[in-house]
Amino acid sequence: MQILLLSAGGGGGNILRSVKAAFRRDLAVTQKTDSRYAERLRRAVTTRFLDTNEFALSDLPKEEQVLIGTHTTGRLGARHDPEVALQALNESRSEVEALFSRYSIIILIGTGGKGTGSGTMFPLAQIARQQKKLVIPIFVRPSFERHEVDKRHYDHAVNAIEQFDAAGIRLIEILNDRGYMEHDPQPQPIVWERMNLPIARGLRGLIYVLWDLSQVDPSDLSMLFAGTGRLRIGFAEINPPEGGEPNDDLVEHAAARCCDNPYYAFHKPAGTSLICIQGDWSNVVDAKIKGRLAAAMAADSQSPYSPLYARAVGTPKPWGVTALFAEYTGAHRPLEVDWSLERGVRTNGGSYRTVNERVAPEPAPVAAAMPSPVVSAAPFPVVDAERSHPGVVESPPGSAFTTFWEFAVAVNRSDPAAMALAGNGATSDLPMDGVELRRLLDMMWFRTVFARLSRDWRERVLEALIESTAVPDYAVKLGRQTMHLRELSFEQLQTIASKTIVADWMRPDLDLLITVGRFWGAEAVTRVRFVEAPERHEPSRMESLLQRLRG
Amino acid sequence: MRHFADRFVREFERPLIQQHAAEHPVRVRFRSSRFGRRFDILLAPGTSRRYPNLSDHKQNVEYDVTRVMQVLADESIVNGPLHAHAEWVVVPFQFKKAGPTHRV
Repeated sequence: MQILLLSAGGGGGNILRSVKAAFRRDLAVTQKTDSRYAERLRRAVTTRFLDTNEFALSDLPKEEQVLIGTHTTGRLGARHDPEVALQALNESRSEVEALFSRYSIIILIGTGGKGTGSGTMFPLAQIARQQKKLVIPIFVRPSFERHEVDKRHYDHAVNAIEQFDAAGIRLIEILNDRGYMEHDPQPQPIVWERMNLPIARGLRGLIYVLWDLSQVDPSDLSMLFAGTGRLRIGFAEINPPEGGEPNDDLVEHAAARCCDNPYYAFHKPAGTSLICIQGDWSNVVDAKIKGRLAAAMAADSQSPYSPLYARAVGTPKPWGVTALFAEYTGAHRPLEVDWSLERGVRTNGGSYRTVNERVAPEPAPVAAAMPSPVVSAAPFPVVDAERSHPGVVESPPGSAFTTFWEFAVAVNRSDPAAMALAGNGATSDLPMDGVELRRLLDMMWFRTVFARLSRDWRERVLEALIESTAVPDYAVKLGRQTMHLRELSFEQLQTIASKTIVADWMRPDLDLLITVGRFWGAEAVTRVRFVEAPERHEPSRMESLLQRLRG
Repeated sequence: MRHFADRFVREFERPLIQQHAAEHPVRVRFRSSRFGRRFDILLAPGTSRRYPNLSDHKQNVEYDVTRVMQVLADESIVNGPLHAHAEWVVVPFQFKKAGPTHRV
């Protein structure tokens, strides 16, 4: 899943800088525990800063700058005039459209401070909607009562918000007025941190859910974002004692924090909402979190609160719960979102589905069924599929799935037919494509699927992988020794991957070997087929440096 | 007069209303002269609000009154200079005098 985080104007740029910094801090923590996960997280998100003022972008890397309307503004900004900003956007419209076309999800961040944010936020969201992208605008209503802007500029911001409402585009609206608390006055940087951190942390959780869309049905997202109203994002960390479960107080506190963000405009009851739980604890704790969240949102039998649950299994800390609440503003026709950029995503058109029909993927109970769980970092749940689903192993249904990918997605959703097949269907004639298998093994959610497959299935998947893949037997440096990949143990392969600089062309094969070890155990690595590596001249350090200078 | 005052207040507070908020952002009073040629609209901040006031938002209130008058575009009424009365901002109005009539 490719997600674009785009700021509009100076105020939006400041928030995005802060979000990016918080996101990087989280990535650094993640890097220590699971570098592959951190890398995937980093790759999932692209940040770009759109502005009319060249100077405002000068501290950013060139590739992150999106300067619009250079003829209109002379690169000097929109002169605090939203109309000028709009003209600038129109001048650079084709560039912006080209940028948007490469992403499925576009998160826009802007403030109604002066010109560019007020003038471009709504038209940017419109461009995204026209391209059938999933757009999440985050817009700050400035405080004129506290003299952040004058009333005229405040009115421009209000005008932008009214445009969102009139066009039926949901948005996250942050009220800067709420940052001034007479009973608890704080310096501005602290208030900004309080406002921005939930966005950064919340986005981290959302990105996990959105990046492969295996956890949520795209048609559910189409419902969540449909219609007018506000969205609210929340994150609360849950940090249980080492090796233990979070207690009730921790859960209660987290649920309250997740729901109680005073800076957001959100006045109606929550309707369809997305809840993502991250942390390696039991399903009992999950259930408590869901219950406390519902209570914190004052949900009862009459309320329209319809949570969609996603479970991030095996994610590194910080753990917790992320929520994206949508105000209930009635029943709306689901949005048409084009997911065609995302491979493996089933687009459900405009089909309606009751959210209560969803079966949240239950975290699998831990059992000793998998060969030697070698990886200590980011362990994923292991389950004996035969024992987990005793009622469905007798008669596996026929081939209801056309590809292994489709079958895996269905298992991840706990689809009954897929679960039955996963328990005892390894002899089914479901075709397995080597390329598809390699891609699946890279997917974080496939860990859950794998844990639900019977031993026979796992063996069949491994055989298909070995049969379709031959790994070039590259020579690598291990300390002072030069060794070939086939000679290395799983542990040595991990050491090389984490502690040495590996050439780009070798990296995919090395990653594959490590993945095999993680899924099937160290012994499985020795079963991989190796072929003679092609002749390859590795540039010396000096050559690499010279190449960079030439480039 | 009443109709004008209602429209004035509605437009004045429109940008101040946060979506679905129950309380009015502005408190309002109305007073008129005995013969009805002059009237005042008195405005004060709503609960836990700071606007309108003339002590630190004079320019903003002046801008807002001009803005609202432009939106209402009622040529029969003109407004005078703002002044404060206790917590209230007084916006004075009067009907324009009718011009000389010409007999044909």
